[in-house]
Amino acid sequence: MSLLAKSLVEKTLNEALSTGADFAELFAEESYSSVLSVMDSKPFSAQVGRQYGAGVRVHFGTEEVYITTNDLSERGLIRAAQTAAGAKPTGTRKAAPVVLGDAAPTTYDGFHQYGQMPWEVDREQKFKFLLGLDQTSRKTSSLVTQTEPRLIEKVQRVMIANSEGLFVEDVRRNFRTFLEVYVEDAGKKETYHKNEWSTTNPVFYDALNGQELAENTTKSALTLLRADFAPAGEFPVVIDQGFGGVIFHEACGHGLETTSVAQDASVFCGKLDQKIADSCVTAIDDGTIAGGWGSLQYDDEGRPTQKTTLIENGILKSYMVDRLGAQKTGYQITGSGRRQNYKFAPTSRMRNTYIAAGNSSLEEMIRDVDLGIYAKDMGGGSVSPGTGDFNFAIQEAYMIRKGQLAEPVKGASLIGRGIETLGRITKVGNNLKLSAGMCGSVSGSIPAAVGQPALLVSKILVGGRAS
Amino acid sequence: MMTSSELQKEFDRIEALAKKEGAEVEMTVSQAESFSAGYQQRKLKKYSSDNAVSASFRVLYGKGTGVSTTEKMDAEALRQTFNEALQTAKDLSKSKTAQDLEPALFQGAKPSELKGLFHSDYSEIPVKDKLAWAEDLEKFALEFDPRVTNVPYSGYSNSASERFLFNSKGTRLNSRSSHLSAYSYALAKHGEDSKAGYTSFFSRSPAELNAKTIAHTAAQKSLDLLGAVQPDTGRWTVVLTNEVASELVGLALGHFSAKALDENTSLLKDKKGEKVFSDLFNWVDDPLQAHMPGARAFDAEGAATRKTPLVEKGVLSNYLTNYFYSRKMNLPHTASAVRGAAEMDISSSNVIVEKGQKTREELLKSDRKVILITEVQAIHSGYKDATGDFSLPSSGFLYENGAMVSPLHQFVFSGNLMSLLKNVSGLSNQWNTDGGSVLATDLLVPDISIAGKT
Repeated sequence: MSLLAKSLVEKTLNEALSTGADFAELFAEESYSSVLSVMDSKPFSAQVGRQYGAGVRVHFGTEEVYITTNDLSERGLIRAAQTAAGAKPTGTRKAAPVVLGDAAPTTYDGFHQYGQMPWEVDREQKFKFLLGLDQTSRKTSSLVTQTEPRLIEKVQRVMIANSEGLFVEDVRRNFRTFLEVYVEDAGKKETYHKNEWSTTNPVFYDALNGQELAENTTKSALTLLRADFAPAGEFPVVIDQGFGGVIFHEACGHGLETTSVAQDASVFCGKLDQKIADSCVTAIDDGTIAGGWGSLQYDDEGRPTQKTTLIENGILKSYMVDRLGAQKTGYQITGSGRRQNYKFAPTSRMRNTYIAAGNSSLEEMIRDVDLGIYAKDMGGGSVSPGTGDFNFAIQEAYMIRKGQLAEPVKGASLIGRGIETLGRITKVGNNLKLSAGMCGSVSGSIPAAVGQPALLVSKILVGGRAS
Repeated sequence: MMTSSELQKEFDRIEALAKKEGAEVEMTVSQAESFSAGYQQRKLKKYSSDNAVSASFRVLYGKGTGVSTTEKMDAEALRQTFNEALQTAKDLSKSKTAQDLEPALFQGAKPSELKGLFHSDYSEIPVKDKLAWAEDLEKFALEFDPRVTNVPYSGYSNSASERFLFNSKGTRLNSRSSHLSAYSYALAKHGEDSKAGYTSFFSRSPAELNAKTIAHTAAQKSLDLLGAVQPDTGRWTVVLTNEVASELVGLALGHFSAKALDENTSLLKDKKGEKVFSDLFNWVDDPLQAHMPGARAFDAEGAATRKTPLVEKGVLSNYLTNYFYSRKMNLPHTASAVRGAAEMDISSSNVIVEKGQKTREELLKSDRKVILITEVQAIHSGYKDATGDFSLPSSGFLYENGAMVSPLHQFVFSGNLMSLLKNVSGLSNQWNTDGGSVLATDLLVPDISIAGKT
């Protein structure tokens, strides 16, 4: 059954166009979310939430109006459409009456392997998995003082229609388990977290090696207990596969979204077809990877997602473009319009963003460094696209001394400037891997994958402790 | 939006269901209307109006607690949401043992006297005036100096909300609040150099909004950083501006939570009565400061709020508690319960760091070379709450003998939060004015690690 009747959607869009808007869109949503957690080796909490609402978006030229409501009755939607239409009236209606086609069906493909919904799965089964993580962590080391295993489930049902006749419905599913392990030795405390995820199967944890997840998280926490602080200053850094891709996400990715490019607030503005990175760098943003954490059948403007080559052999080939961004810049839409939920108007955002595999091996890169850092696992980061200043944190790292891995180090942010740092990626590895993350920006927090093979950055500022 | 009496009727139905099941229930409803607008390149970039409502249930069954929320407000959806919370409470009660404390709803709810939390819903201000303020936030920044070339983000917003609290112990409370906010993020350019400046504003009264001041402050901040250089890597005496200090003080507040003590994740566990920070520090949690964003007349359980000293002359004087953890940890009840969509938690409200005697200029003369840190970034990734360790990208200014020598950028300020707060050796006499829920002074701290030029 559709979230909203087609006739009501058409009526709402027509009302939104009544004062001269050029474009109108309705995004409606009904979502389920659940968070289960374990604490002190016992089930601790279970929260369930349901989101329900819609956003009416209209464009007067390139000016945007966005109105939200929780009232999906005809009265509520028409009132929202009238508020949108009345925000910036330019005269009388210009657009033709909206006629929607039949809703494009949700396809049963790599995006959707329908089975059970999370609310149909026995909660005891979920807690059993989380308690297993806790028990394995505690068995791995007597220094474990606390664990926080969590299971986060989200099912988002959306309906997107616009005045150009687009009408789609979709169901998106995101399931993620986190484990945070606290350890303490002689008054010294540390913590570490890792996660696993699925976009298709709510009982993904059945196929997951929970023992390995718990043991590895605990071992990483123990490594930090014996680690000293990273040094301060500029060093060569080898950044390993997977979440290491946060370097590209922050150093470059956000600056290639028309969110910043269209307002001349990116250091990458006007650099299309120019060399912005070493020729060993090819970077891609792909919303079509089957089962990918950031994959979508339709973006949040209702368009099919695409695979977009951003940088090819160091040359900037494309930005990530949403509808409004395309209107402002003239670039082709890339199916990159995204939003957290109906409370946000969409804007161009990343999906699964990664640096393509190269030819070097991790061992070769480490051998090339006389004194530097091997960043095995990364934390989050941020960027100011207007200045290009970016940063990200290292979670688990080791010194490299004379081409060999040496002692573990901890606690440092790495900082740089986008174009400068891209030019310092001198080797790209052959071990590509993608990892899941949540990306926060003007249209909220969305699932986005980052990825890369191992990279060698010849010089970057390490914010460790100065002696 | 539902009226108070309609909500009361819905709660009465749910309460009867809970009673039949041998459970107790609390229902929180939030209804809010907000408006925001922003301009970019002299065109309307953002115009949004939100009408939001949500209901949240907390159900107690035996020793289990279930929480469930919904944004769908019809009777069927409310009943379904209650049933989900009830089922969760039943599920969780199975894993409880005799040693677990039984949760309880707070009895004797009443609000504290708190005037000025609600100004109006701002509907008396014509939309064209609000749009003019939004436009001014960009315009005044661009007109301030030709080197300010872009204001990618700026905006005005207003919000009015009402929250209702009902529970099986007879609680029937409601509270209205409203506020306006504005911000400006300006970019200044000179040749290839590009610098950003940001400022924000919060008030309950439209009379206090001055778009020109906000825009000029952001523009001036971006201009001041043009021509910045990297400082040398090493150990430095630093002065943290009150804005930066308020962010760092804010990071420490979670460690005052009795829930964090119980979960063994607080760095201040077993420290009550001990000297934890510099003896210059006096901190108070004050939910009754109506002009600040964390003001509230009652907490999320309905308990009357009040002022609580946290730190007196550097000594930890109180932890923050809700009803459950005050009983479990045998601590005074500070009425610090908070709850959004999630489980009941504990949080500070407005925290005020008592002012010192010196001016910022005097602090900057305390050593031959001093770095004034005016901005830190990436707190979400560069700060580790479990250990207090931080490594934060920063910008600021180099002072020599009290005189500004050059702006600084591209450096990382690192250390341990608890150690830093112990080592503070001077406080200024001025608070931050960015509208946050922490009022702090400038802080003088010796021997800080700075990673920069090598």
